[in-house]
Amino acid sequence: MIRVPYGLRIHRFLAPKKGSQPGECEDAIAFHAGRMVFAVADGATEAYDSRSWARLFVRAWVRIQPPVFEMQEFEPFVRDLGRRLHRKWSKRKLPWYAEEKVRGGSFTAFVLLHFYIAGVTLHWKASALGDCCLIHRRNLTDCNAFPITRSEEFGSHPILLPSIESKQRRALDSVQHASGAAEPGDDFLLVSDAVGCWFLKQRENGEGETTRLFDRLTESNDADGLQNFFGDLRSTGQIRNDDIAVVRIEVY
Amino acid sequence: MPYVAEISRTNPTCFIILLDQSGSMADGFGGSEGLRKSDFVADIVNKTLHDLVIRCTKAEEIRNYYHISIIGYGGSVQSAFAGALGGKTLVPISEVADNPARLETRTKKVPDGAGSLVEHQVRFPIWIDAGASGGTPMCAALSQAKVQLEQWLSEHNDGFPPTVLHLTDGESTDGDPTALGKELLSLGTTDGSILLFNCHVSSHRAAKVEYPSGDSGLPDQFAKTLFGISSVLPESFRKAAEQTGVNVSEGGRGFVFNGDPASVVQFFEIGTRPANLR
Repeated sequence: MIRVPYGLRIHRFLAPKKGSQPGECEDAIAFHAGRMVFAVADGATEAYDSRSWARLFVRAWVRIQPPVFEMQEFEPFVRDLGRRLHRKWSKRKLPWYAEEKVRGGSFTAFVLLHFYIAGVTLHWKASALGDCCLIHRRNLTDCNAFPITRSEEFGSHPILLPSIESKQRRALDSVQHASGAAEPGDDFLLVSDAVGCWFLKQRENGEGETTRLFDRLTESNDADGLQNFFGDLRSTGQIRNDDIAVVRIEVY
Repeated sequence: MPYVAEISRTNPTCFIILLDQSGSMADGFGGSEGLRKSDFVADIVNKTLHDLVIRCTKAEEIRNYYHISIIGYGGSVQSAFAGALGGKTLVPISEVADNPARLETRTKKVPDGAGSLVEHQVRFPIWIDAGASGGTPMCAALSQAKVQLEQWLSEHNDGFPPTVLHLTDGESTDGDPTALGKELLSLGTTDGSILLFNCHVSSHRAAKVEYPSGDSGLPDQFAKTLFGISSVLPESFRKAAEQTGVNVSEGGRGFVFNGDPASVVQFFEIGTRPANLR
Protein backbone atom coordinates (compact mmCIF):
# COMPACT_ATOMS: atom_id res chain seq x y z
CA MET A 1 0.00 0.00 0.00
CA ILE A 2 1.27 3.45 -0.88
CA ARG A 3 0.22 6.53 1.10
CA VAL A 4 0.10 9.89 -0.65
CA PRO A 5 -1.08 13.35 0.36
CA TYR A 6 -4.77 14.20 -0.03
CA GLY A 7 -5.88 10.93 1.48
CA LEU A 8 -5.64 8.35 -1.28
CA ARG A 9 -5.00 4.68 -0.63
CA ILE A 10 -3.79 2.89 -3.72
CA HIS A 11 -4.00 -0.82 -4.45
CA ARG A 12 -3.05 -2.61 -7.62
CA PHE A 13 -3.27 -6.07 -9.14
CA LEU A 14 -2.01 -7.24 -12.51
CA ALA A 15 -2.11 -10.82 -13.75
CA PRO A 16 -1.98 -12.61 -17.09
CA LYS A 17 -4.70 -14.83 -18.40
CA LYS A 18 -4.60 -18.47 -17.37
CA GLY A 19 -2.02 -20.30 -19.45
CA SER A 20 0.18 -17.24 -19.98
CA GLN A 21 3.29 -16.08 -18.21
CA PRO A 22 3.50 -12.74 -16.35
CA GLY A 23 5.83 -11.48 -19.09
CA GLU A 24 3.06 -12.10 -21.63
CA CYS A 25 0.43 -9.99 -19.89
CA GLU A 26 -0.91 -7.40 -22.36
CA ASP A 27 -2.65 -5.34 -19.69
CA ALA A 28 -0.57 -2.57 -18.18
CA ILE A 29 -0.76 -0.41 -15.09
CA ALA A 30 1.11 2.76 -14.18
CA PHE A 31 0.58 5.48 -11.64
CA HIS A 32 2.38 8.32 -9.96
CA ALA A 33 1.07 8.65 -6.44
CA GLY A 34 2.52 12.11 -5.85
CA ARG A 35 0.94 13.55 -8.98
CA MET A 36 -2.23 11.54 -8.41
CA VAL A 37 -2.29 10.12 -11.94
CA PHE A 38 -3.37 6.57 -12.69
CA ALA A 39 -3.54 4.61 -15.93
CA VAL A 40 -4.67 1.18 -17.07
CA ALA A 41 -4.31 -0.08 -20.62
CA ASP A 42 -5.26 -3.29 -22.36
CA GLY A 43 -3.23 -4.17 -25.45
CA ALA A 44 -5.17 -5.90 -28.23
CA THR A 45 -4.30 -9.60 -28.27
CA GLU A 46 -4.62 -9.88 -32.05
CA ALA A 47 -2.19 -7.05 -32.80
CA TYR A 48 1.61 -6.95 -32.89
CA ASP A 49 3.52 -6.51 -29.62
CA SER A 50 0.56 -4.94 -27.87
CA ARG A 51 2.15 -5.51 -24.49
CA SER A 52 4.86 -3.01 -25.42
CA TRP A 53 2.35 -0.48 -26.73
CA ALA A 54 0.12 -0.69 -23.64
CA ARG A 55 3.07 -0.43 -21.26
CA LEU A 56 4.74 2.37 -23.16
CA PHE A 57 1.50 4.34 -23.24
CA VAL A 58 0.61 4.16 -19.53
CA ARG A 59 4.18 4.71 -18.35
CA ALA A 60 4.66 7.74 -20.55
CA TRP A 61 1.27 9.22 -19.65
CA VAL A 62 1.82 9.17 -15.88
CA ARG A 63 5.22 10.83 -16.36
CA ILE A 64 3.86 13.88 -18.17
CA GLN A 65 3.42 16.91 -15.99
CA PRO A 66 0.76 18.25 -16.08
CA PRO A 67 -1.22 15.24 -17.33
CA VAL A 68 -2.51 15.56 -20.89
CA PHE A 69 -6.21 15.20 -21.65
CA GLU A 70 -7.02 17.76 -24.33
CA MET A 71 -6.76 16.73 -27.96
CA GLN A 72 -4.19 19.37 -28.89
CA GLU A 73 -1.78 17.91 -26.32
CA PHE A 74 -2.90 14.32 -26.43
CA GLU A 75 -2.52 13.91 -30.18
CA PRO A 76 1.19 14.84 -30.38
CA PHE A 77 1.79 12.80 -27.25
CA VAL A 78 0.45 9.55 -28.77
CA ARG A 79 1.99 10.36 -32.15
CA ASP A 80 5.44 10.53 -30.59
CA LEU A 81 4.88 7.34 -28.64
CA GLY A 82 3.75 5.49 -31.75
CA ARG A 83 6.78 6.70 -33.67
CA ARG A 84 9.04 5.60 -30.84
CA LEU A 85 7.57 2.11 -30.85
CA HIS A 86 7.77 1.72 -34.63
CA ARG A 87 11.37 3.00 -34.59
CA LYS A 88 12.21 0.31 -32.06
CA TRP A 89 10.67 -2.37 -34.27
CA SER A 90 12.35 -1.05 -37.42
CA LYS A 91 15.79 -1.52 -35.89
CA ARG A 92 15.29 -5.26 -35.75
CA LYS A 93 15.68 -7.74 -38.53
CA LEU A 94 12.26 -9.34 -38.43
CA PRO A 95 11.05 -12.63 -39.85
CA TRP A 96 8.45 -12.31 -42.62
CA TYR A 97 5.49 -12.82 -40.30
CA ALA A 98 6.62 -10.18 -37.81
CA GLU A 99 7.37 -7.79 -40.66
CA GLU A 100 3.85 -8.34 -41.95
CA LYS A 101 2.25 -7.91 -38.54
CA VAL A 102 4.22 -4.74 -37.77
CA ARG A 103 2.53 -3.13 -40.76
CA GLY A 104 -0.78 -3.42 -38.89
CA GLY A 105 0.75 -1.90 -35.76
CA SER A 106 -0.42 -2.24 -32.18
CA PHE A 107 -3.64 -1.24 -30.50
CA THR A 108 -4.62 -0.60 -26.92
CA ALA A 109 -7.64 0.40 -24.87
CA PHE A 110 -7.02 2.71 -21.95
CA VAL A 111 -8.52 4.56 -19.03
CA LEU A 112 -6.72 7.49 -17.38
CA LEU A 113 -7.52 9.22 -14.11
CA HIS A 114 -6.17 12.34 -12.48
CA PHE A 115 -7.07 13.83 -9.09
CA TYR A 116 -6.44 17.48 -8.30
CA ILE A 117 -7.30 19.92 -5.57
CA ALA A 118 -9.32 23.02 -6.40
CA GLY A 119 -10.03 25.16 -3.38
CA VAL A 120 -10.69 22.65 -0.66
CA THR A 121 -12.28 20.06 -2.94
CA LEU A 122 -10.71 17.00 -4.46
CA HIS A 123 -11.70 16.73 -8.12
CA TRP A 124 -11.15 13.97 -10.63
CA LYS A 125 -10.87 13.93 -14.38
CA ALA A 126 -10.79 10.84 -16.61
CA SER A 127 -10.37 9.85 -20.24
CA ALA A 128 -11.01 6.49 -21.80
CA LEU A 129 -10.97 4.74 -25.13
CA GLY A 130 -12.20 1.21 -25.71
CA ASP A 131 -13.30 -1.15 -23.00
CA CYS A 132 -11.08 -0.28 -20.06
CA CYS A 133 -13.33 1.09 -17.40
CA LEU A 134 -13.49 3.53 -14.48
CA ILE A 135 -15.91 2.57 -11.73
CA HIS A 136 -16.63 5.27 -9.16
CA ARG A 137 -18.33 4.14 -5.97
CA ARG A 138 -19.50 6.31 -3.12
CA ASN A 139 -19.35 4.50 0.24
CA LEU A 140 -19.17 1.31 -1.84
CA THR A 141 -22.87 1.58 -2.68
CA ASP A 142 -23.68 4.15 -5.38
CA CYS A 143 -21.84 3.14 -8.48
CA ASN A 144 -21.10 4.92 -11.74
CA ALA A 145 -19.11 3.36 -14.52
CA PHE A 146 -17.37 5.09 -17.42
CA PRO A 147 -17.20 4.85 -20.40
CA ILE A 148 -19.02 1.51 -20.35
CA THR A 149 -22.02 1.47 -18.07
CA ARG A 150 -23.55 -2.00 -18.53
CA SER A 151 -21.98 -5.46 -18.63
CA GLU A 152 -23.61 -6.32 -21.95
CA GLU A 153 -21.68 -3.48 -23.61
CA PHE A 154 -18.47 -5.49 -23.29
CA GLY A 155 -17.56 -7.99 -25.96
CA SER A 156 -18.11 -5.81 -28.99
CA HIS A 157 -15.20 -4.52 -31.04
CA PRO A 158 -14.31 -1.21 -29.41
CA ILE A 159 -12.27 1.52 -31.05
CA LEU A 160 -8.70 1.25 -29.76
CA LEU A 161 -5.66 3.49 -29.83
CA PRO A 162 -3.42 2.51 -32.77
CA SER A 163 0.34 2.85 -32.73
CA ILE A 164 0.29 3.80 -36.41
CA GLU A 165 0.21 7.57 -36.70
CA SER A 166 -2.06 7.72 -39.73
CA LYS A 167 -4.77 5.81 -37.87
CA GLN A 168 -4.60 7.72 -34.61
CA ARG A 169 -6.65 10.81 -35.35
CA ARG A 170 -9.81 8.88 -36.07
CA ALA A 171 -9.43 6.86 -32.86
CA LEU A 172 -8.71 9.94 -30.78
CA ASP A 173 -11.99 11.47 -31.90
CA SER A 174 -13.67 8.67 -29.95
CA VAL A 175 -11.89 9.30 -26.65
CA GLN A 176 -14.45 10.01 -23.95
CA HIS A 177 -14.03 12.27 -20.96
CA ALA A 178 -15.63 12.46 -17.53
CA SER A 179 -15.03 14.49 -14.40
CA GLY A 180 -16.45 15.11 -10.97
CA ALA A 181 -15.75 15.78 -7.33
CA ALA A 182 -14.51 13.15 -4.90
CA GLU A 183 -15.26 12.80 -1.22
CA PRO A 184 -13.84 10.75 1.62
CA GLY A 185 -15.40 7.30 1.33
CA ASP A 186 -15.25 7.39 -2.48
CA ASP A 187 -13.63 4.52 -4.22
CA PHE A 188 -12.28 4.46 -7.79
CA LEU A 189 -11.53 1.31 -9.75
CA LEU A 190 -9.60 1.38 -12.99
CA VAL A 191 -9.99 -1.99 -14.63
CA SER A 192 -9.47 -3.79 -17.92
CA ASP A 193 -12.44 -5.36 -19.68
CA ALA A 194 -12.73 -8.78 -18.05
CA VAL A 195 -12.90 -7.36 -14.52
CA GLY A 196 -15.10 -4.47 -15.63
CA CYS A 197 -17.61 -6.85 -17.20
CA TRP A 198 -17.63 -9.15 -14.17
CA PHE A 199 -17.94 -6.27 -11.70
CA LEU A 200 -20.84 -4.58 -13.50
CA LYS A 201 -22.64 -7.89 -13.87
CA GLN A 202 -22.38 -8.41 -10.12
CA ARG A 203 -23.89 -5.00 -9.52
CA GLU A 204 -26.67 -5.60 -12.02
CA ASN A 205 -27.54 -8.90 -10.40
CA GLY A 206 -27.40 -7.46 -6.90
CA GLU A 207 -24.76 -9.98 -5.89
CA GLY A 208 -22.73 -8.13 -3.30
CA GLU A 209 -20.98 -10.95 -1.47
CA THR A 210 -18.37 -11.62 -4.16
CA THR A 211 -17.58 -7.95 -4.69
CA ARG A 212 -17.18 -7.52 -0.92
CA LEU A 213 -14.61 -10.32 -0.98
CA PHE A 214 -12.91 -8.60 -3.92
CA ASP A 215 -12.85 -5.36 -1.91
CA ARG A 216 -11.35 -7.07 1.14
CA LEU A 217 -8.66 -8.76 -0.96
CA THR A 218 -7.69 -5.54 -2.73
CA GLU A 219 -7.69 -3.57 0.54
CA SER A 220 -5.29 -6.06 2.06
CA ASN A 221 -3.17 -6.14 -1.13
CA ASP A 222 -3.50 -9.90 -1.04
CA ALA A 223 -2.03 -10.81 -4.45
CA ASP A 224 -2.23 -14.55 -3.83
CA GLY A 225 -5.78 -14.19 -2.58
CA LEU A 226 -6.74 -12.20 -5.68
CA GLN A 227 -5.02 -14.74 -7.91
CA ASN A 228 -7.09 -17.51 -6.34
CA PHE A 229 -10.21 -15.35 -6.37
CA PHE A 230 -9.98 -14.72 -10.12
CA GLY A 231 -8.92 -18.33 -10.68
CA ASP A 232 -12.17 -19.46 -9.06
CA LEU A 233 -14.21 -16.99 -11.10
CA ARG A 234 -12.57 -18.29 -14.28
CA SER A 235 -13.11 -21.92 -13.44
CA THR A 236 -16.80 -21.27 -12.77
CA GLY A 237 -17.17 -19.24 -15.95
CA GLN A 238 -18.03 -16.03 -14.10
CA ILE A 239 -15.18 -14.14 -15.69
CA ARG A 240 -13.57 -14.49 -19.10
CA ASN A 241 -10.07 -15.93 -19.22
CA ASP A 242 -8.29 -12.69 -19.98
CA ASP A 243 -5.51 -10.58 -18.52
CA ILE A 244 -6.53 -8.69 -15.40
CA ALA A 245 -5.58 -5.15 -14.41
CA VAL A 246 -6.99 -3.45 -11.35
CA VAL A 247 -6.02 -0.14 -9.77
CA ARG A 248 -8.15 0.77 -6.80
CA ILE A 249 -7.98 4.20 -5.18
CA GLU A 250 -9.75 4.80 -1.89
CA VAL A 251 -10.33 8.41 -0.90
CA TYR A 252 -10.19 9.08 2.83
CA MET B 1 -22.50 -26.16 -25.39
CA PRO B 2 -20.03 -27.37 -28.05
CA TYR B 3 -17.40 -25.35 -29.92
CA VAL B 4 -16.61 -23.01 -27.06
CA ALA B 5 -13.24 -24.38 -25.93
CA GLU B 6 -10.50 -21.79 -25.72
CA ILE B 7 -7.70 -22.24 -28.21
CA SER B 8 -4.37 -21.79 -26.47
CA ARG B 9 -0.84 -23.10 -26.62
CA THR B 10 -1.70 -25.77 -24.09
CA ASN B 11 -4.98 -26.50 -25.82
CA PRO B 12 -4.43 -26.02 -29.56
CA THR B 13 -6.74 -26.95 -32.39
CA CYS B 14 -5.94 -28.45 -35.75
CA PHE B 15 -6.73 -27.78 -39.40
CA ILE B 16 -6.51 -30.40 -42.09
CA ILE B 17 -6.83 -29.16 -45.65
CA LEU B 18 -7.80 -31.80 -48.19
CA LEU B 19 -6.99 -30.66 -51.70
CA ASP B 20 -8.15 -32.27 -54.89
CA GLN B 21 -5.09 -32.20 -57.19
CA SER B 22 -6.57 -34.38 -59.92
CA GLY B 23 -5.94 -33.73 -63.63
CA SER B 24 -9.14 -31.72 -64.05
CA MET B 25 -7.82 -29.10 -61.63
CA ALA B 26 -5.70 -27.89 -64.56
CA ASP B 27 -8.89 -26.59 -66.24
CA GLY B 28 -9.71 -22.90 -66.32
CA PHE B 29 -11.53 -21.19 -63.46
CA GLY B 30 -13.82 -18.23 -63.14
CA GLY B 31 -14.19 -17.70 -66.88
CA SER B 32 -10.54 -16.82 -67.26
CA GLU B 33 -8.53 -18.81 -69.78
CA GLY B 34 -5.26 -18.10 -68.04
CA LEU B 35 -6.39 -19.02 -64.53
CA ARG B 36 -6.21 -22.71 -63.64
CA LYS B 37 -8.19 -24.06 -60.71
CA SER B 38 -5.07 -25.68 -59.27
CA ASP B 39 -3.11 -22.42 -59.37
CA PHE B 40 -5.92 -20.43 -57.82
CA VAL B 41 -6.52 -22.94 -55.06
CA ALA B 42 -2.80 -23.27 -54.25
CA ASP B 43 -2.62 -19.50 -53.97
CA ILE B 44 -5.61 -19.36 -51.63
CA VAL B 45 -4.21 -22.15 -49.45
CA ASN B 46 -0.88 -20.30 -49.19
CA LYS B 47 -2.79 -17.13 -48.29
CA THR B 48 -4.80 -19.06 -45.71
CA LEU B 49 -1.63 -20.44 -44.08
CA HIS B 50 -0.15 -16.94 -44.17
CA ASP B 51 -3.20 -15.57 -42.34
CA LEU B 52 -3.15 -18.36 -39.75
CA VAL B 53 0.52 -17.64 -39.04
CA ILE B 54 -0.15 -13.92 -38.73
CA ARG B 55 -2.99 -14.62 -36.32
CA CYS B 56 -0.59 -16.56 -34.08
CA THR B 57 2.16 -13.92 -34.26
CA LYS B 58 2.60 -11.98 -31.06
CA ALA B 59 5.84 -10.06 -31.24
CA GLU B 60 8.58 -12.10 -32.88
CA GLU B 61 7.12 -15.22 -31.41
CA ILE B 62 4.58 -17.55 -32.95
CA ARG B 63 2.19 -19.15 -30.51
CA ASN B 64 1.27 -22.70 -31.38
CA TYR B 65 -2.49 -22.33 -31.38
CA TYR B 66 -2.82 -24.52 -34.48
CA HIS B 67 -1.43 -27.71 -35.98
CA ILE B 68 -1.70 -27.98 -39.75
CA SER B 69 -1.87 -30.78 -42.29
CA ILE B 70 -2.38 -30.42 -46.01
CA ILE B 71 -3.24 -33.56 -47.90
CA GLY B 72 -3.16 -33.37 -51.67
CA TYR B 73 -4.87 -36.11 -53.65
CA GLY B 74 -4.69 -36.88 -57.35
CA GLY B 75 -1.98 -39.04 -58.89
CA SER B 76 -1.08 -39.86 -55.27
CA VAL B 77 -2.30 -39.05 -51.77
CA GLN B 78 0.33 -37.27 -49.74
CA SER B 79 1.30 -34.24 -47.74
CA ALA B 80 1.12 -31.25 -50.09
CA PHE B 81 3.75 -29.29 -48.20
CA ALA B 82 6.75 -28.44 -50.37
CA GLY B 83 10.29 -27.67 -49.20
CA ALA B 84 11.47 -28.49 -45.71
CA LEU B 85 8.00 -29.52 -44.57
CA GLY B 86 7.60 -31.98 -47.48
CA GLY B 87 5.97 -35.19 -46.26
CA LYS B 88 5.15 -33.77 -42.83
CA THR B 89 1.73 -33.83 -41.21
CA LEU B 90 0.15 -32.07 -38.24
CA VAL B 91 2.84 -29.43 -38.19
CA PRO B 92 2.76 -26.84 -35.37
CA ILE B 93 2.05 -23.38 -36.80
CA SER B 94 5.43 -22.02 -35.61
CA GLU B 95 7.18 -24.66 -37.71
CA VAL B 96 4.94 -23.77 -40.65
CA ALA B 97 5.86 -20.10 -40.19
CA ASP B 98 9.58 -20.73 -40.17
CA ASN B 99 9.63 -23.19 -43.07
CA PRO B 100 7.93 -21.94 -46.20
CA ALA B 101 9.31 -23.59 -49.32
CA ARG B 102 10.27 -20.12 -50.53
CA LEU B 103 9.44 -16.45 -50.07
CA GLU B 104 8.18 -14.58 -53.11
CA THR B 105 8.02 -10.82 -53.44
CA ARG B 106 4.57 -9.48 -54.13
CA THR B 107 2.98 -6.08 -54.39
CA LYS B 108 0.32 -5.28 -51.86
CA LYS B 109 -1.91 -2.22 -51.76
CA VAL B 110 -2.28 -0.76 -48.31
CA PRO B 111 -4.13 2.34 -47.05
CA ASP B 112 -1.86 5.37 -46.72
CA GLY B 113 -4.01 6.88 -43.98
CA ALA B 114 -5.13 9.72 -46.22
CA GLY B 115 -7.81 7.78 -48.03
CA SER B 116 -5.63 6.41 -50.80
CA LEU B 117 -3.83 3.15 -51.41
CA VAL B 118 -0.10 2.82 -51.84
CA GLU B 119 1.81 -0.15 -53.16
CA HIS B 120 4.17 -2.02 -50.87
CA GLN B 121 6.56 -4.80 -51.73
CA VAL B 122 5.92 -7.65 -49.29
CA ARG B 123 7.42 -11.06 -48.73
CA PHE B 124 4.84 -13.75 -49.47
CA PRO B 125 5.54 -17.29 -48.29
CA ILE B 126 4.81 -20.31 -50.46
CA TRP B 127 4.21 -23.65 -48.77
CA ILE B 128 2.41 -25.56 -51.49
CA ASP B 129 2.64 -25.62 -55.25
CA ALA B 130 -0.21 -26.26 -57.63
CA GLY B 131 -0.75 -29.88 -58.59
CA ALA B 132 -3.04 -31.42 -61.22
CA SER B 133 -2.66 -35.05 -62.24
CA GLY B 134 -4.44 -38.39 -62.06
CA GLY B 135 -7.90 -39.23 -60.74
CA THR B 136 -9.85 -38.16 -57.68
CA PRO B 137 -9.07 -40.65 -54.88
CA MET B 138 -11.30 -38.87 -52.38
CA CYS B 139 -11.82 -41.94 -50.18
CA ALA B 140 -8.08 -42.50 -49.83
CA ALA B 141 -7.67 -38.85 -48.86
CA LEU B 142 -10.46 -39.05 -46.28
CA SER B 143 -8.87 -42.24 -44.90
CA GLN B 144 -5.56 -40.48 -44.48
CA ALA B 145 -7.29 -37.55 -42.80
CA LYS B 146 -8.99 -39.97 -40.42
CA VAL B 147 -5.67 -41.58 -39.44
CA GLN B 148 -4.20 -38.16 -38.72
CA LEU B 149 -7.25 -37.01 -36.79
CA GLU B 150 -7.26 -40.11 -34.61
CA GLN B 151 -3.60 -39.56 -33.82
CA TRP B 152 -4.13 -35.89 -33.00
CA LEU B 153 -7.27 -36.48 -30.95
CA SER B 154 -5.51 -39.07 -28.80
CA GLU B 155 -3.30 -36.25 -27.54
CA HIS B 156 -5.78 -33.35 -27.58
CA ASN B 157 -9.08 -34.62 -26.34
CA ASP B 158 -10.33 -31.43 -24.65
CA GLY B 159 -9.51 -28.80 -27.23
CA PHE B 160 -11.51 -27.04 -29.87
CA PRO B 161 -12.37 -29.79 -32.38
CA PRO B 162 -10.26 -30.09 -35.53
CA THR B 163 -11.55 -28.57 -38.76
CA VAL B 164 -11.20 -30.38 -42.08
CA LEU B 165 -11.48 -28.16 -45.14
CA HIS B 166 -12.02 -30.24 -48.26
CA LEU B 167 -11.89 -28.78 -51.74
CA THR B 168 -12.69 -30.78 -54.87
CA ASP B 169 -13.81 -30.22 -58.43
CA GLY B 170 -15.27 -33.61 -59.15
CA GLU B 171 -16.67 -36.88 -58.02
CA SER B 172 -14.63 -39.47 -56.20
CA THR B 173 -12.97 -42.05 -58.44
CA ASP B 174 -12.26 -44.55 -55.67
CA GLY B 175 -15.73 -45.11 -54.27
CA ASP B 176 -18.52 -43.44 -52.34
CA PRO B 177 -17.03 -41.13 -49.69
CA THR B 178 -20.19 -41.17 -47.54
CA ALA B 179 -19.14 -43.86 -45.06
CA LEU B 180 -15.67 -42.39 -44.55
CA GLY B 181 -17.10 -38.91 -44.21
CA LYS B 182 -19.49 -40.12 -41.54
CA GLU B 183 -16.62 -41.85 -39.74
CA LEU B 184 -14.74 -38.56 -39.67
CA LEU B 185 -17.80 -36.77 -38.37
CA SER B 186 -18.11 -39.29 -35.56
CA LEU B 187 -14.72 -38.22 -34.20
CA GLY B 188 -14.33 -35.29 -31.88
CA THR B 189 -13.20 -33.85 -28.58
CA THR B 190 -15.11 -33.12 -25.39
CA ASP B 191 -15.96 -29.78 -27.03
CA GLY B 192 -17.74 -31.27 -30.03
CA SER B 193 -17.44 -33.33 -33.19
CA ILE B 194 -14.82 -32.55 -35.74
CA LEU B 195 -15.90 -30.05 -38.37
CA LEU B 196 -15.85 -31.22 -41.98
CA PHE B 197 -16.52 -28.52 -44.54
CA ASN B 198 -16.70 -29.31 -48.26
CA CYS B 199 -16.23 -26.94 -51.17
CA HIS B 200 -16.91 -28.12 -54.72
CA VAL B 201 -15.62 -25.86 -57.47
CA SER B 202 -16.69 -25.81 -61.08
CA SER B 203 -15.05 -24.63 -64.27
CA HIS B 204 -18.45 -24.09 -65.80
CA ARG B 205 -20.89 -21.32 -65.22
CA ALA B 206 -23.42 -23.11 -63.04
CA ALA B 207 -25.66 -21.88 -60.28
CA LYS B 208 -23.68 -22.06 -57.07
CA VAL B 209 -25.09 -23.19 -53.76
CA GLU B 210 -23.50 -21.84 -50.58
CA TYR B 211 -24.00 -23.03 -47.01
CA PRO B 212 -27.46 -24.57 -47.45
CA SER B 213 -29.39 -25.99 -44.50
CA GLY B 214 -31.15 -28.65 -46.59
CA ASP B 215 -30.38 -30.71 -49.68
CA SER B 216 -33.65 -30.22 -51.54
CA GLY B 217 -32.26 -27.54 -53.85
CA LEU B 218 -29.10 -29.44 -54.74
CA PRO B 219 -28.72 -30.39 -58.41
CA ASP B 220 -27.59 -34.03 -58.22
CA GLN B 221 -26.66 -37.00 -56.06
CA PHE B 222 -22.97 -36.01 -55.87
CA ALA B 223 -23.94 -32.67 -54.39
CA LYS B 224 -26.21 -34.45 -51.91
CA THR B 225 -23.38 -36.82 -50.98
CA LEU B 226 -21.05 -33.93 -50.13
CA PHE B 227 -23.86 -32.13 -48.29
CA GLY B 228 -24.45 -35.28 -46.24
CA ILE B 229 -20.88 -35.28 -44.98
CA SER B 230 -20.70 -31.56 -44.22
CA SER B 231 -20.95 -30.21 -40.67
CA VAL B 232 -23.45 -27.62 -39.55
CA LEU B 233 -21.57 -24.33 -39.11
CA PRO B 234 -21.21 -23.48 -35.40
CA GLU B 235 -22.26 -19.99 -34.40
CA SER B 236 -18.77 -18.48 -34.36
CA PHE B 237 -18.26 -19.64 -37.95
CA ARG B 238 -21.64 -18.23 -38.97
CA LYS B 239 -20.55 -14.89 -37.52
CA ALA B 240 -17.32 -15.13 -39.51
CA ALA B 241 -19.43 -15.81 -42.60
CA GLU B 242 -21.47 -12.67 -41.91
CA GLN B 243 -18.26 -10.67 -41.71
CA THR B 244 -17.28 -11.87 -45.17
CA GLY B 245 -20.69 -10.88 -46.49
CA VAL B 246 -22.29 -14.33 -46.52
CA ASN B 247 -25.50 -14.83 -44.58
CA VAL B 248 -25.79 -18.36 -43.28
CA SER B 249 -29.06 -19.41 -41.72
CA GLU B 250 -29.07 -21.45 -38.52
CA GLY B 251 -28.47 -25.06 -39.50
CA GLY B 252 -26.53 -23.98 -42.58
CA ARG B 253 -23.77 -26.43 -43.42
CA GLY B 254 -20.15 -25.83 -44.33
CA PHE B 255 -20.81 -26.76 -47.92
CA VAL B 256 -20.42 -25.00 -51.25
CA PHE B 257 -21.39 -26.48 -54.62
CA ASN B 258 -20.35 -25.13 -58.01
CA GLY B 259 -18.22 -22.54 -56.21
CA ASP B 260 -16.47 -19.80 -58.14
CA PRO B 261 -13.19 -18.10 -57.15
CA ALA B 262 -14.97 -15.80 -54.68
CA SER B 263 -16.59 -18.83 -53.05
CA VAL B 264 -13.20 -20.45 -52.54
CA VAL B 265 -11.78 -17.34 -50.88
CA GLN B 266 -14.78 -17.10 -48.56
CA PHE B 267 -14.76 -20.84 -47.83
CA PHE B 268 -11.21 -20.70 -46.47
CA GLU B 269 -11.86 -17.47 -44.59
CA ILE B 270 -14.96 -18.82 -42.91
CA GLY B 271 -13.53 -22.28 -42.27
CA THR B 272 -10.46 -21.04 -40.45
CA ARG B 273 -12.20 -18.69 -38.03
CA PRO B 274 -12.93 -20.62 -34.85
CA ALA B 275 -13.20 -18.09 -32.02
CA ASN B 276 -11.72 -18.08 -28.52
CA LEU B 277 -8.03 -17.60 -29.26
CA ARG B 278 -6.23 -17.11 -25.96
